Amino acid sequence: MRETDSGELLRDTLDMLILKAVEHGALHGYAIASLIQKRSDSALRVEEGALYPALHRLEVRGLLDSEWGFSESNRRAKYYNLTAAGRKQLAKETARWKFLSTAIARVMETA
Amino acid sequence: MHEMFRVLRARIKAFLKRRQLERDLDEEIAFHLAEKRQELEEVGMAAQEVAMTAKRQFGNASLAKERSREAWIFGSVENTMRDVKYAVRVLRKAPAFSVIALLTLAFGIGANTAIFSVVRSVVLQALPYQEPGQLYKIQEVAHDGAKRFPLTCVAAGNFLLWTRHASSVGDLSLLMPSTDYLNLKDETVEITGVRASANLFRVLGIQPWIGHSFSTDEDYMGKGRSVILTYSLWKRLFQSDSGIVGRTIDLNGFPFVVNGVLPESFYFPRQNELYGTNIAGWTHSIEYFVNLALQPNEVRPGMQMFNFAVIGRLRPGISPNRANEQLDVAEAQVPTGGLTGVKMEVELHPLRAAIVGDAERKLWMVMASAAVVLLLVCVNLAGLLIAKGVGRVHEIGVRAALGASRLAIVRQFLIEALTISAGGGALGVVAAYWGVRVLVRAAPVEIPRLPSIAIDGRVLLFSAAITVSAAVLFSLVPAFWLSRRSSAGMVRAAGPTTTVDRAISRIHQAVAAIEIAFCTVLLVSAILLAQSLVRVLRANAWGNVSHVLTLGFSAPPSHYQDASRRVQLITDVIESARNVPTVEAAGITTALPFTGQAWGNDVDFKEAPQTAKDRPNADWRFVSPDYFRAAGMALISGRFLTRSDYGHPLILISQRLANALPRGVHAVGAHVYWTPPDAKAPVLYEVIGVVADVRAMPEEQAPYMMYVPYWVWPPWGISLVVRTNVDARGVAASLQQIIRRTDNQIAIPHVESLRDILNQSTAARRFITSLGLLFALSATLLAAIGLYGLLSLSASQRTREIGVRMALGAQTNEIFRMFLLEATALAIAGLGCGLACAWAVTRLLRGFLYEVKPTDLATFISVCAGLLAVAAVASYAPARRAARVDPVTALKWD
Repeated sequence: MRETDSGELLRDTLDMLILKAVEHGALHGYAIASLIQKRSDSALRVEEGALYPALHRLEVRGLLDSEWGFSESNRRAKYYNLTAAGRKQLAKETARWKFLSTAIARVMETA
Repeated sequence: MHEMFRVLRARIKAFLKRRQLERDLDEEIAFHLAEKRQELEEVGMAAQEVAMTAKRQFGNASLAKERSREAWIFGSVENTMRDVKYAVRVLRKAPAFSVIALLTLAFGIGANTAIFSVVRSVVLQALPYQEPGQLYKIQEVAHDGAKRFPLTCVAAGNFLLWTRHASSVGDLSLLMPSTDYLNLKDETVEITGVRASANLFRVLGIQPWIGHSFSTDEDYMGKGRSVILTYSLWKRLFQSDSGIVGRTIDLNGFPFVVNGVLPESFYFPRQNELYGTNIAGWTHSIEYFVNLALQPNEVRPGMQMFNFAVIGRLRPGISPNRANEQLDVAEAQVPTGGLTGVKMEVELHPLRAAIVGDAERKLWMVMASAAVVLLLVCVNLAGLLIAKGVGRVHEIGVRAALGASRLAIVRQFLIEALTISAGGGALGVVAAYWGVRVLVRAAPVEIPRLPSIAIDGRVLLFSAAITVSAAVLFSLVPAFWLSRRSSAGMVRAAGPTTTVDRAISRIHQAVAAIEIAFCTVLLVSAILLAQSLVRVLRANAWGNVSHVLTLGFSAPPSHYQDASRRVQLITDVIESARNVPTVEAAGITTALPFTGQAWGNDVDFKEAPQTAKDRPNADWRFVSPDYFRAAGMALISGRFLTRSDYGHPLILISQRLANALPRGVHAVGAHVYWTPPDAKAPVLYEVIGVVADVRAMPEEQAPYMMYVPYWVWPPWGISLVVRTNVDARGVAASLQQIIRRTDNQIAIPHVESLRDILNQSTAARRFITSLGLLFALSATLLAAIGLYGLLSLSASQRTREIGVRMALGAQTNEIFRMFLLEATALAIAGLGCGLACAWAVTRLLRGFLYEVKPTDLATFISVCAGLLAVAAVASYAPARRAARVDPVTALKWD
């Protein structure tokens, strides 16, 4: 098991962002990366080298499932979709995120 | 569904479709690069730069692929090795736990491996014949109204009716074990073989290794004498002489042509297995086959000469029921003579079941208790791991914080468990290797197919399987529990709390109670068996059995056809034996006590005339006057024979037979009609004494017995019985010399003290009982260790609580009592479950118990008392330790 991987927190955050990206419908890897980048006004750039491992990890954990389809450019692409378990996980992560960010914000805004 | 199982399922699926996965991954990345290129082109980048930039922006594509792949696969060998090393380090840090785990696992796995190797060879393995499922043992059964009398043996004449009128059922072979004297150049040996019809080897589907089988006309007398040797006899007595085929050997003084030698792997059931019964001295291995050579008096159908066994191969397509019907039709033609109302029928038994008999159930029972012991080992280790895990909550928490998933933590636990289990398994298999040898040596001859028992590949596979299952069993619950516990601890970011500790002790308490429950079941069963054994031994108590020596010998038929020569031989041997200095009494008998029934025949009392059907059937034994004194048998009334009675028609009977006489008929002075084999008309014999009952088999009621002096009819097979005033084995050599000096052609197949014989006859029961006790006692020890571990842990966890209690005025002995009460409550809970289970389980034991009820109250009570005592002992030290807590130190704890 890889337990000394650097950036564990980032990994968890990336997972959360991916789940959020596919919340309203199946997307392929490229579209997920673009969407995250666009929504964050290019503040968050997803490393492709991290994106695909994350997608596969989520698929193995049963939070995403995938099927092959055709992209707008009419190329064969692998589309990722949220599973029921994934939706539950996303809700949990969202709640946790809100709780943490407001807590951190309150700390940072005092004094 | 839990995430762990989803992951496991996904990984297994991925493993099965790993090529597909690889292709998909390539295509997915290729698509991404293509999209990137298109985007770059759309923003107007020059064509030659597009590919380069797309690749650069993506970064290391093969690393991304590698990382993606990792999500799908189980850890690599490298990772596993690292985990094993880590596990070994963890185990080294806890030597006490590791040693207990290693030893208890070695015992549990070793015992299961050893017992399984026996079960496999005896019960599971098919007989080493072609299509063994088609082979049946066929028996005759006499019905008299509603009563059913299965006959041990088949009459050859009746068998011939089957082959004549029901030949379509298949191929039937006729057999009869016989003991013969093989005269070699300088010695005579007694060997046991089988008279077999020519088709026997065809029926079994076995070819002689060298030479050929018998011819069909050799099935009848006067058509030649031939013999086929087993490999072991050929090796032992003929020095593996390859030129043996075609030569003649001397059996009982007659020349027999050697037809062939059987393959080394050839297996044949022993006499007692073939007949499914115990007849005096019938436990020898079969060493050769001679042609059947049916005598004219054997071929007549009827109600006599039930001497044979039948093994048949049913024709494919015919069901055993249908075969049975057809054979019944043939059997209906058997003339029943004067026995009106008797109907003869046939029964078929699958050959394997007939040979294995009730050994099968006994072995499964032993296997079940071994399995329970291993289960206990696992439960115990699970408990210890939880206890140990409490100290590891912090370590696990740190690892979880470093990003180890729950799966990774469970996996680490599993690897630790597998590491230690593999160590225990390896030790266990080595122990089992020796254990099986001890088992085979200690096992009673009644267990069939003993020589084939060995630890082979399949047994090792079994050991590997139980090693892995044991590891999973004892590590999974603690691992899940602790990993959840750790992640919970992380969120709350708090140290160990009392609620958590309470949950630990609740699981731990359940574990200890379960152990006591298992242990109760095993102890109750073992003690019921032990009580049965004690009762069997008591029922067969016999004064000074080690001072009685028995020597079997036989008059070789070639020299002793004449009855008067046999009488002379017996008289000479007894006289010489009497003159040996330490001998107090010497006599002969045809069957020794505890070796089974000898010769069954009706008893026709002159004073109580009855029809042939209603006469008591007794076990007839031919003896010399001093036999009773030599063997140590008691006289109930009348008198023993004396040497001055020589030549007179006198007999003795056993007490049960005397009691079976009608009221008013006195046994002593009554008369019996009997026609000795060489007489033309019945002779009248006077009963001069009644002898105390002696069992033919230790666990069966004594049969009616007739004791006839040897001069009335001198037997062939004889046992010399000698009482000495020293240990009996001391005179064995001089007695053997005496017999050889009388006639050097006489073989002496066995020399044993009466103690040896008694021991052998109870060997099966002692074997089962000692295994049962061994498992029950080891289970008790395990439960005690478990309870001790639980209380020690609870004592150390509750130091603060104890401190508070003491500060509030609790006395040392109150704390002590509190801990003992906790242990007692656990023991009582476990005992309650255990007794309920035992109540149900011991019913299965019914067939193995002797004069003990499966619900014997005394046994249940003594097990309760015993286990409560064990619980008290196991909890004494932890309770003392708890009571000695110093309140000041305790409150400063942390």
